[in-house]
Amino acid sequence: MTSPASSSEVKYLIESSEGNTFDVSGAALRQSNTFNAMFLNIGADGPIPFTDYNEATLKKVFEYCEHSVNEENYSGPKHQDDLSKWDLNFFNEMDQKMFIDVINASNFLDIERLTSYCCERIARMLRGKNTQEMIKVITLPTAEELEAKQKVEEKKAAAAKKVAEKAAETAEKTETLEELPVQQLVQTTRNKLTRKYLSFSNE
Amino acid sequence: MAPGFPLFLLPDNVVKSVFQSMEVVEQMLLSMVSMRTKKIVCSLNFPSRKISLGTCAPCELEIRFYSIIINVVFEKSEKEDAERELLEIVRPERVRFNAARKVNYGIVESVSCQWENGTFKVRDYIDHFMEILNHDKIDE
Repeated sequence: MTSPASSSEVKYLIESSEGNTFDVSGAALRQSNTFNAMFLNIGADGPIPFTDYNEATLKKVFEYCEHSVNEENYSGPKHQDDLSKWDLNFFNEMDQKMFIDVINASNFLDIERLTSYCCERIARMLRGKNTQEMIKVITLPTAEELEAKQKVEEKKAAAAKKVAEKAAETAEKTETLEELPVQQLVQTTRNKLTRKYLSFSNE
Repeated sequence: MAPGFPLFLLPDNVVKSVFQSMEVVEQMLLSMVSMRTKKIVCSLNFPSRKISLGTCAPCELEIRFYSIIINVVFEKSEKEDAERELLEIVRPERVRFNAARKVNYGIVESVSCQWENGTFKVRDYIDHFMEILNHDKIDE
């Protein structure tokens, strides 16, 4: 069941790469700027396809969002030493693969707080190390790995386009809002996502 | 978590955010790891205020910005160290990196590390730091 977000009681259906769906509260989803740009004002008709990420990863990301619903608005990076016990447990219980998946999903969903904490956590891996030790910590990628990364970026751009199309489709079905602002919103979102991913690919 | 972390397989904006989350000292050290890390550090636009080079012993490069003072010291072997006032170092054997941050009228935080130098010459280090600091001259 999905509907326009106006209260924290609203639930949205999220679709993962496995094709499974699960619901997430509107309050948690509103921490995602990607979601805000596309669905906040128009609602979603059917599940929102975040099909580039598996269910476990998405649930982990939204577990964080659900937990931080009542925290103050994000106001910039917080030092890891200031993280709560819950936050530390959240990060500590992830293995490296899950951690990387969470960063990627959080980055795509543009959840500033979570992405920032993940980045800070990686930065801490290098604290107090000299250059030789740094090289051991951050494994430098091979040409093949960089090529694979490029393909992933392209795949994500396609996924972003798919989500934007879903928003466009929903906007067309939404009769309660005036046509022009919705169309502008969808077009703006589509342009924004396309620009974001094209800029990654070109760097 | 596993010892090796594939940082550069993350999206480029995430990699940049990781660099921005680091302390200045780590950013500078990381800039020497590869051309890719150097390029990222260059893009951070360091606000360096002054770079000076000490030509007497010990041969060192001093970099100042805001409350941070960084000294990059170029060293030869112990024997040559004894005659260091006459020493001309082209390619150091070791590089010492000290960073101190002034807090509340005194230096309370400092970080230092050293490594065996490879093929880098002193001139290469100077050029490297001037480039990542977007500084086009040695001030003193």
